[in-house]
Amino acid sequence: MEKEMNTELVLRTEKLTKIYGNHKAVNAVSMNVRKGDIYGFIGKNGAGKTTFMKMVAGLAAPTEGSIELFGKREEKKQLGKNIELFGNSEADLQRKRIGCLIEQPGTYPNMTATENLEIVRRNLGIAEKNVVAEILEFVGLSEAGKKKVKNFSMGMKQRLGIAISLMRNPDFLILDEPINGLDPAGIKEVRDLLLKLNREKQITILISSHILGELSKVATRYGIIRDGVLMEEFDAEALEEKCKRCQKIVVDNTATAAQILEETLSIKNYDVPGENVIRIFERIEDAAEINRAMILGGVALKESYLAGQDLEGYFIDLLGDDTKVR
Amino acid sequence: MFNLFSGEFYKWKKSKVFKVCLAAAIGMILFIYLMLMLVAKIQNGEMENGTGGVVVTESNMEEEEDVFAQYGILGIVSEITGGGFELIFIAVFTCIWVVGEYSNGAIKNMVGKGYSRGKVFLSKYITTAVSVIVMNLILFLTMLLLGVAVMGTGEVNGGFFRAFFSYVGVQLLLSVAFCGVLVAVCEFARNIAVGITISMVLVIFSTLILSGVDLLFQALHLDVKASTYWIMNVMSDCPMGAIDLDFMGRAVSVAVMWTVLSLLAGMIHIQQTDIA
Amino acid sequence: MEGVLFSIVILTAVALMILAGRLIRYRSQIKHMKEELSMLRQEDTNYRLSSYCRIGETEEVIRLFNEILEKYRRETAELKRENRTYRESITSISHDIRTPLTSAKGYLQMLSGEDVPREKQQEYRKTVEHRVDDVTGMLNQLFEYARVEAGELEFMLERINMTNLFADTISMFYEDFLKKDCEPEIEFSETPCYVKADRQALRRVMENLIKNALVHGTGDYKFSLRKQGDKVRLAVSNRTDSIEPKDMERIFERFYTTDTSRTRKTTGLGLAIVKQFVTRMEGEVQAALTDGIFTVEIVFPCLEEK
Repeated sequence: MEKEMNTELVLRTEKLTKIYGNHKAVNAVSMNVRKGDIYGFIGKNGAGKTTFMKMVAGLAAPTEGSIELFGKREEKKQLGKNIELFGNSEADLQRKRIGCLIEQPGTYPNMTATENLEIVRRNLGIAEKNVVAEILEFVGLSEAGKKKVKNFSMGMKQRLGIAISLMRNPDFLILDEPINGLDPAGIKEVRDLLLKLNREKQITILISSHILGELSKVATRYGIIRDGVLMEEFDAEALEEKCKRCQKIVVDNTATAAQILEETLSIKNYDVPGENVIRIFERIEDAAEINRAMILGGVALKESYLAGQDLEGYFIDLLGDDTKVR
Repeated sequence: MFNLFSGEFYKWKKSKVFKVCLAAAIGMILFIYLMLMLVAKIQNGEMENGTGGVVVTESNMEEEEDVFAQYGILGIVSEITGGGFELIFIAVFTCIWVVGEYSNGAIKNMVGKGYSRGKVFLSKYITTAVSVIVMNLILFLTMLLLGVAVMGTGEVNGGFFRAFFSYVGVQLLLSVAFCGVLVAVCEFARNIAVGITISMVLVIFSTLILSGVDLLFQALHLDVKASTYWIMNVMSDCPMGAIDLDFMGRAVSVAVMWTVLSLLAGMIHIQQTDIA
Repeated sequence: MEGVLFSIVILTAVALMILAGRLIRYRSQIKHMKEELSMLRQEDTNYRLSSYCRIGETEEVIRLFNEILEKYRRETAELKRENRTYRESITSISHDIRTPLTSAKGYLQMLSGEDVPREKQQEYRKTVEHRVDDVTGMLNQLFEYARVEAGELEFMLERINMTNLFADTISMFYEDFLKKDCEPEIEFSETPCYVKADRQALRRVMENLIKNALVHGTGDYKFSLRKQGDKVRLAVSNRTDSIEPKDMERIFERFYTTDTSRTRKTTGLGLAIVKQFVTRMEGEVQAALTDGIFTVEIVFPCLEEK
């Protein structure tokens, strides 16, 4: 965990809360996104993913809590108090380094893709005029540059949205369900694009989804949100560990059992998750031998079975029972 | 901020909203002149009353002159604009232009990008105001040219231009103020249907409502005429010709007051309200 | 008179306003650039300098600056990556050299011991010699590469019968293929191909290609030398299971090797040398991987037959 301390944080929220009426859409979320992460933000629809991202992107004001972007802190704006007509917080200035695609991409349907990007280019004060063509090429829309956006397919619109978010060479990319509504080929394309951006330009990415399978191939860290609460945050390796297939044994005395594992069977890779439970990750195929050793060693073996939470099962547990995770 | 202007200008060039609104307004002016020409011909006995569905009821039959001679170029201009005719088109344009940013989500590409929200609103207001000025100028020019084409250059002289330009100047000032109110309304509504409804109510019924308020104040023995301070009343009160200092002062103060009020309201609203 | 005066005043006022506007925009632009530059200096970022407004040639300045910035960032990233490979390769080369040396030392110790039968002594000596040869080979390659890199190697370009040279080189590896128990498919052009090249360098290129195939290949060896238009194409291909599509773009990089095992026999310099030599002799080289078949092809302009 020392690694976590030393690594630069791109985003740190502290008890970030958003209340709509009586409903806590986002409830005291403290999230840490490290530099270089691809952070998979997972929750079912309506769990508060988009609201959270809007607050980070500066589109919505938090009710409580604070946001720290690239180490610059932003306190919540207090209604009626510090109204600054032209004011900009330091975190606001850091938002220049963020690219976002939240909900639908903001485009003018009656204009072409090129024209839409040209507007963004001018708005952001990008002096390089060729950026528009380059980015269209990068997201694979060069052919469709002259087509009006209203004639775009869902996948093309999403890619145009990604193009808009990339206009300023961001350090931090916030993507809200970018693979929603894409066909399998499109999903793969976006995934490869994200990996490329992450590897080649060291862009940190915060990506939300309710489709878990797609994120598990790119994410390096996960955050699970359920009813506005950040349930858990963990690394991809930790997830792998969690979902490792293992032999689970339920015994009366875990201490003796552990000793038998180490001494007799020379198994070191196991853990004790519950009072009477041991999970063994090594030599899973030798279940019979393990059982025999336990009984010979005088340990009462109550149960012994091959376990291994599959990824989806694990997430279904976290996200809530009524969720259907595809 | 200059970058936002540059983006807005590009959008303005590429989008059809302005052109369509302008064309519709010009078409409307042409239509009005056509009707007036019909009326004049009937009055002059060149056509039978009722031609093309136009029925002229002569209120005072002793009047020898036709409608053009009666009003003159400037008179007709002030008759058309005094009723807030061009404001309808300005309102439609403003709603589409401002609310469009919210309905298609493009506002997300401007807010939270390093610009303060106040500046985003202000740039939207300024581009709308400039569009309104351009639209107004073209409309006044059209009316002037049509007037000259129909009535000839008989009344055109130095005094004519002085009257015309001072009238146009006051109207421009007031319509820019009115456009500020509309932009603020759109910012509050953030929805095209709501925005257009409120704007139309303002354009069509505000003077009516205010005269009701005036009556109410009168009944309460209050020495305040609310209508004095409303942009549209000042617009229709504007005399063609000699504009005295009193009226000038009233026009400027009303324009400034409403501009400042609506800008403040809009800027505070955009800053305090989340982008959906 | 009054009218003239009035218009002069108006014109001056307008001119002053325009000038003031330009001045304000210049100042804002400079202030904006200053803010962003200080941000760029502080942060490790991809952000590029942006423009506040379009005024004068400032945008051109920004574009030029960004070009330099981009170049710097690309180079830094490249350097970082190269440094990493370099560090890794130093470690592995030391390992590569130490392994045969340690082995040789072991045999020498045994030799110096007593009671070693004569025939065993002979065998040990042979082994030591082999190990030392291995090390020498590796060091030679390293040295050669270093000299090419430094541009010290002189190339004597002459007219060479490439067909003969290639046949000659392949025959030297005949035994190695026998040991692998497979027969390579060989395809030569009907008429001999002549190219302009340095004999030693071209031979080294061919040797490296064949050695590379022997080390990484698992069968389906194919050597072909064809004349195509005014070009001579020499292709070496083999089936492989250690090379993946992701390796392709870095395959000619120095010290790049797909073999990450501890007992590898390559320095990762073979193909890097091929590339260096071929380019220096004005040829082209490319690699491809299709359906598990790895192919390296070198192309030279063909000389007329005499």
